[in-house]
Amino acid sequence: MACRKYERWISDDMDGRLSDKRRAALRRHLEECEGCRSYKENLKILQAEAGKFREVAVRAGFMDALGRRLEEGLRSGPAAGSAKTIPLAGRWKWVWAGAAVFVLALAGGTILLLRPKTPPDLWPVSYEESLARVLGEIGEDADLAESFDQVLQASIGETLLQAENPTFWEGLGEDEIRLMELDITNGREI
Amino acid sequence: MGASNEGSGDHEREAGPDPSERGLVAAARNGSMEAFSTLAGLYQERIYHTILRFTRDPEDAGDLTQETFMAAYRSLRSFRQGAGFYTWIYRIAVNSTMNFLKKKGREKNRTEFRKDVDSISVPGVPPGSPEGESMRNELGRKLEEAVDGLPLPFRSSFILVVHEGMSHADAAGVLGCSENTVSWRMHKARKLLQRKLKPYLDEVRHGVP
Repeated sequence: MACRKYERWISDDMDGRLSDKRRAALRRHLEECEGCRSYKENLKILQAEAGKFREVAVRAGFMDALGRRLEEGLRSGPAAGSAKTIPLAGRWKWVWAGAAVFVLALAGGTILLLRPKTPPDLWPVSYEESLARVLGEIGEDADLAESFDQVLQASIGETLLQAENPTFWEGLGEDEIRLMELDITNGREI
Repeated sequence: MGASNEGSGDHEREAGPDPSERGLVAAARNGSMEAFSTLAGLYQERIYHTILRFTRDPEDAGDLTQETFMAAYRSLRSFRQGAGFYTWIYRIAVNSTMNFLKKKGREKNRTEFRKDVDSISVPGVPPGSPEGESMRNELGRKLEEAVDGLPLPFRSSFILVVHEGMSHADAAGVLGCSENTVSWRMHKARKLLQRKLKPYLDEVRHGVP
């Protein structure tokens, strides 16, 4: 396992990247390890061989031809520093997107302006407001009050019948429980 | 360019752009095609040979050289005036070539790549002897094939450090990775090459059988 570390140090050493401290440690290891010495010798031969690769001699006139090709390309191609210019197709894309947003905004505004006015008495009201209005209409009228109670009790009875939860009672308030008792006992106090 | 211990070679020389280069770059940025053509003429041969090391195909290298300079011309606005023009264009060349090789998927066998193995010193084999020459030729051919067969990240690091003579820091700058990554890739590349060529290397080390 330790040799893996030293193999990497051998590579770093060949590229002049090993610290003095590590180089000294590597030297001590190499004195003891035949395998790493052999590995280092092989790498030295590889390095020498690879370092002998030379540039291919290009045929006469090749570079001139390459230069002419480049000049032709420059003349017929885009201008210097044009890489950041948004191409025409890209600009049209933004134009169409802007037009679409404008049309949508116009249509939305038109719908808002032309929609029919809702009468104030049809506006949605809260539960408290609704109850207060009903109670206000009932006022001192005993018949209406009784009818309202019946409707209320009937709705509670339906709720009770629909309740499958055995802990349903725990969610009711004192008044609701009392009303149910009266309903069950036909108005008699328990 | 030789072994990597020789330093980063051309890239170190490019650290400080000379005034004439700065003037040409400034003129090119202002739209002077002539100025850019002059710059291209200064560096196109070096760029071509660098690309050729990767592609091993003169036609592909020519196309990629042209593509590199065209891309540089279009992107002149992104070039920072303080940086070296050669370093900048070198980075474009390597990145374009890497992208090309990735797209190509597999790399062609080289058709015109030669090496000079005249002066390699092999223990146990007299330099210039027929046996030594034969072994070195065989090892050289096998090494080229083995380098061609390396995975692209390892191969690119190996070419930049060993063939182009770059330091790990310079190679990391070109490849857009850390020095530590280059160090690890070099280690893995060497290990893979050593494993693949071990019979030949052992033979060379121990002399003619």
